[in-house]
Amino acid sequence: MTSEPQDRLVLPADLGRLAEARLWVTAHAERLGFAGRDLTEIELALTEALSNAVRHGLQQDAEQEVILEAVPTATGLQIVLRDRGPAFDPTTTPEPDLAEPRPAATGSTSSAP
Amino acid sequence: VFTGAIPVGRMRAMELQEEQVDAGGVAVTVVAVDGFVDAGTVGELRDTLERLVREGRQRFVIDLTRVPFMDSSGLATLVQTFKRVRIGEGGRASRRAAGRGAARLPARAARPRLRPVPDAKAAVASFTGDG
Repeated sequence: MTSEPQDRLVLPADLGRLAEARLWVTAHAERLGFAGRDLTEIELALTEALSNAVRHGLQQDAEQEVILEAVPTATGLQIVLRDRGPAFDPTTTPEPDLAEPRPAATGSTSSAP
Repeated sequence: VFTGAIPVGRMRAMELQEEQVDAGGVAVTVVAVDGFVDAGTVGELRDTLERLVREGRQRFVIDLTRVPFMDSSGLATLVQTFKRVRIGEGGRASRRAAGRGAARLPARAARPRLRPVPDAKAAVASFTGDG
């Protein structure tokens, strides 16, 4: 007999815990009927969001926490990710220079400053 | 620790195996990746590929047959390696990606440059006559 996944998962800001979060969201998504590519995309979305929070929001400070919550909705699954990293204020970010986009890690270009 | 329905064994760390093989007189380095590749595990893959490029290896097969999941950090590492090899070879592309993991790369991936093939053996064979 398998246990139901917890609605809330609290993890330290440690990239080594990404897999744990992925398994958690997979369990929730599978219970709601997600499978195949949809499931992969949910795992990917959570991994990318959590990686960003850990690396850029919390600077990989394992004393800090990230809180994940799974909320089933009428149309699917809502995942809420919360942390106490500095808030991002888009109004204080310089406009991107589209004339000289910076190279991105994937080899394409990005318009981010 | 999450103790839900998924066996904790599925959280195993990534493992790498590297091997140099001969493809009709052409040396090919096969790097087999086993396990998920994300920001928490990609460092070892990146370090290994960087070392092999520094050693002068020019033809790679990155075997992703046993990679159930790869995020953008893994993809970026593959693309960076590809670019370094290509620059080193004066513009010749010389890497193959094998396996299901390659086919599941995000749509933004440089698919025209990465040629998914059925398995590592076929990928190595594709280098025959590439010398």
